[in-house]
Amino acid sequence: MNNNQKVLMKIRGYFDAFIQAERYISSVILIIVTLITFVQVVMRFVFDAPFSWSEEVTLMFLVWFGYLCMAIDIYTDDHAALYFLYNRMSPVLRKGADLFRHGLLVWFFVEMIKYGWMLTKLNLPKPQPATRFSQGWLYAPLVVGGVLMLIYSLVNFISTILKPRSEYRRESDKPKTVEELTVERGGTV
Amino acid sequence: MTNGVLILFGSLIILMMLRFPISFALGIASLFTATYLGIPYFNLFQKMATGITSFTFMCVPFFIIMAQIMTDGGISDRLTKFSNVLIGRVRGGTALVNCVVSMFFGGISGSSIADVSSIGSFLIPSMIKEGYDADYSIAVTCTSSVEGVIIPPSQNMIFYVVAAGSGLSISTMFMTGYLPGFLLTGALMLCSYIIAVRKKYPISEKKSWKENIVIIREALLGLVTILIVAVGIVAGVFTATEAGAIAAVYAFIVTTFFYKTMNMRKLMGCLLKSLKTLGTIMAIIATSSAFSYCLAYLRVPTMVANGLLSISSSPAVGMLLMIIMMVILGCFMDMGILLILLTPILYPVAMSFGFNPYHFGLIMVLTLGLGLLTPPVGTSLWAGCAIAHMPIEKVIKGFLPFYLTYLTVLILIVVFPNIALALPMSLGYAV
Repeated sequence: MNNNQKVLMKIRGYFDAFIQAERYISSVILIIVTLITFVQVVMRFVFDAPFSWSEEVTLMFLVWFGYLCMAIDIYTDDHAALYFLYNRMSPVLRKGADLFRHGLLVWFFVEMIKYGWMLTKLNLPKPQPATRFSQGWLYAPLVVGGVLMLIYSLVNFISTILKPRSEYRRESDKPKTVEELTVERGGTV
Repeated sequence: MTNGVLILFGSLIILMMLRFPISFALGIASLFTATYLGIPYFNLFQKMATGITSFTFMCVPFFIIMAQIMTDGGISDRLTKFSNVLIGRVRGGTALVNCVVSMFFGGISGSSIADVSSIGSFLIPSMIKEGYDADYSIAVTCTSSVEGVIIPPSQNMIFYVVAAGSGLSISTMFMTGYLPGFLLTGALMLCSYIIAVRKKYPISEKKSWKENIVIIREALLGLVTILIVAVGIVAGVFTATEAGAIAAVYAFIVTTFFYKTMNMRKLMGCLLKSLKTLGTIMAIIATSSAFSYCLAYLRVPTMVANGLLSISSSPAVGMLLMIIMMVILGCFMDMGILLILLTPILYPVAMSFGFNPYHFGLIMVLTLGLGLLTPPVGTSLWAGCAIAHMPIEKVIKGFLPFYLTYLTVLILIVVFPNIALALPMSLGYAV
């Protein structure tokens, strides 16, 4: 392992810790959203006093949750994808495909941040009907999620540049679990 | 326009072949097309943002958490024992148990792959040990796992409703799934039974009444989650989203306090596992909104409808061609992704032919469900073979009678729409 790879390993260690924190934050959001919806039903049936704000708040949490989750999967490079051609490529071609993928994703996320920011600014003055929260909160995850995904894609791009070909060969020979096979066939639910 | 369509689909296919995340391949292909057509990127990102801000879509995370809690909380084992009490004492009993347990499990998880991974992981080896042929054991497990994609709460039905984007009701869509789900279960049981009798497969061992009562009590607690979803929606007590949240909380209470298999730490584990699935789904829903916008801009559904009409103006032929297309595509891509990709194209076509939107949704889900069982991609088929450590080519012969049964049920549902629509109509839902 050369010096560059050692530095990258150290940086990825920090990112791993950050991703773990992001995972816990997303899980807590999921618990909050579930509880709000549950309590909303109880309030309506038991106390006949439903919250007027529950739908707006849960929806806002859902959007933030969604973009945080997407970012996590970008870092781990785990989004559903098709592998049947990729798995048949030589290590050199696979490395090229990886660089192209992470590079193009970087461009996509730059655009996402740019237009997400425009949408957020445009919707900032508009209040939501029940909570009076700015509608900008519904669009801001595009910017925050976009920034996270941009950083993660850059890290993945650099990691791919530094990844030796021997590692690609090792990956091809490794036996796969049922979950890995499902991911490689684009399985979603 | 034709160049635009070529850019949209050409870039999508190339990106997917290069292992791009399918979700972002949809987004990038849309941006390429927008660049060529001069559509402002602003419109596409606005679609992406609003794509997941839907209260309807919110039930997906709830149902996924509920399924994860129930699966990790040991429901599959209890449901299997329960099904064994119900029908285990006939020839080929374990195979029939496999079909019934998948029906119950489908009512909780709605995921075919989760069914094969959890139930199949112990039923396939135990069937082989009891003396069933390996190909038969895998075929029964995998085929019956597809019952879950049409029995509510089915995430795939939610994908259809969200992707159709024309104000369809998830509750009504769910109601259309019950009778076809029971029909498919019955047909698979019949097929399994006939093969079991011909091949003289064994009868499961008898259990005492005392044991049976404990098994029934434990399983019924879990089965209440199905009732929460079914009765809650049917009686108009909850929306589908609320039913998902209530069922998730109930699942946590049952597994924590009655099964004693869950705690806060394990719950966090369940949630962390759900994140991966949810991240993928959220990304696909968001970017597919931008993709659908391009499809509509390029009038792709009209082109497809005109193409089908040029072959025949008969709705029956149109439906047959759409089914053939879905079966072929289902061999190469996962059904969830195909539903999100194909619904914006085929839904307007089906409406122009005069099909009922809910009936067509069910046909789409059922047809694409077949793709879970067909090589080279069939995720459930692969999972079943991986569990039994068998290569697909040695197993596929065992699938043939089950493919035939599945296709017969599909044809019946296509020809008799009331199999799907009778329940929602009798309950007063607008179909």
